[in-house]
Amino acid sequence: MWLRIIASSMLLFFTAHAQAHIRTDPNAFTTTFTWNGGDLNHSFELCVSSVQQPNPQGNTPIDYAVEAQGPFEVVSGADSIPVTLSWDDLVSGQAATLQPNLSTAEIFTGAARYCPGGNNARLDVYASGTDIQAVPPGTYTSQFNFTATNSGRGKSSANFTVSVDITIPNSIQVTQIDDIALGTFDGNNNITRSETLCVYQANGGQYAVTLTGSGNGGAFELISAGSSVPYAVSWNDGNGAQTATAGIPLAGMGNSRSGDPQCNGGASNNATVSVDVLATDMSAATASGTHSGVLTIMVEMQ
Amino acid sequence: MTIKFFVPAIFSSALLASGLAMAASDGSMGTGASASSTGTAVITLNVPDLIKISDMNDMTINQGNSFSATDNVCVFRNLAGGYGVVAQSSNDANGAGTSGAFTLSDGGTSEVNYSVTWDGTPLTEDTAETGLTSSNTTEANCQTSGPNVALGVSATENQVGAATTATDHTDTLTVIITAE
Repeated sequence: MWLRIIASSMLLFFTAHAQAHIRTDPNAFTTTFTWNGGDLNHSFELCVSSVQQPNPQGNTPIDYAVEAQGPFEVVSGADSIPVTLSWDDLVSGQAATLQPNLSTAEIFTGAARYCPGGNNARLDVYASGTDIQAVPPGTYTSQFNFTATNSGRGKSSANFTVSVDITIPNSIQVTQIDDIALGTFDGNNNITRSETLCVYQANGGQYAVTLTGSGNGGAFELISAGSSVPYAVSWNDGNGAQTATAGIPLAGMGNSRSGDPQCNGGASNNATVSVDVLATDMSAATASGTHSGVLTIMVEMQ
Repeated sequence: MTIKFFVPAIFSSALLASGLAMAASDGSMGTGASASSTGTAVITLNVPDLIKISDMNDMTINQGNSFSATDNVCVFRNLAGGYGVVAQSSNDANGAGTSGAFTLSDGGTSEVNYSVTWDGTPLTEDTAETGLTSSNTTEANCQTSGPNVALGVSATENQVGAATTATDHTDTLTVIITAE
């Protein structure tokens, strides 16, 4: 009788090894990177072994399904960035965008154990640059849990994880800059022109602005054929205008815009640069015609 | 006897066509610690040829000043350009545009002719004196330099004696300066 029991156990042991099987190699991925603009596109290739029972050699692949637990986002405190997860079948070429907590059909081509023909699947992680830009700087993380399943008997599911770690550094940009046409001197009056523009800073913090002209030593000068007309520049961050000295930073500027480097296409511009030319200086020009200069605007983090 | 002067004038050249291309540029995104972003804007200003006469005042000539008075006026001409001057009498029988005589009138039939000088140079009524140069090329109103041209009016005793009424005789003297 003991002999029958032992023989029976051996039979069960070998049967278990011959049942359906699914696994992924590797079963954990981690990606860490620092965002420097643009969309985030990152892919992981892997082997999904998915075989049918009975199959002692484990070399009869069957199709499998994939499911990922939501939400699909990376998180930093109360802020989050939506993420799109897509699954590519490297054998059939079929691709599917995954939905949170919703399994696909068994549409992906399984492989024999250890994928002797090479990896047969790829996971794509995508986040739009616009969405990334819309959140404050920081480190955004998430671990996405996946399950691959097939309909074979035996071990019919495999779990794997993908950890995404995105560091968004602070960033700054000046946009919505227009040329400034002062028009024609009327012989009597000073000329003042102002232009609004956009100062973006991801963390919405203070900044410094340095204004420099194209005259000697960066002076604010408009030039024509040896004739020079000086001008003055002021900067208003919304808290009052400050007169700029060429090449010297104006520190402590506020109201920088976060989340939108273009200030809503200019509709929400948050700074004003003004150019003032005195009638006495224009009267003293030694040449007629168009006087011009380049005003350089540099904003920097503080 | 009062002589009135009228109207400073500014003449400007046609705008010079600008060949300057507009070239504002936004800054690129700067990331990381102490990052910066730099943009540029082109600023343009048109300075035309300018000329202006100012500091003009009414003048009175009478026996007390020997029928002679001077008003120091400001002539501004930028770019060190030249100019011409024309003086017109409102009572000139020939009308504006035709040379005649500087004439004071009582409003009726009594008239007194007079003379006008521009920095000492006699002017002929409604006739351009050209080839002049302004000493002021930088201040539209001679703010610090002060007036730079002496505008003189005078009448001789014989001219005054031609009056047929003993009342004020007046004229509006219009001085036009033109950039050359």
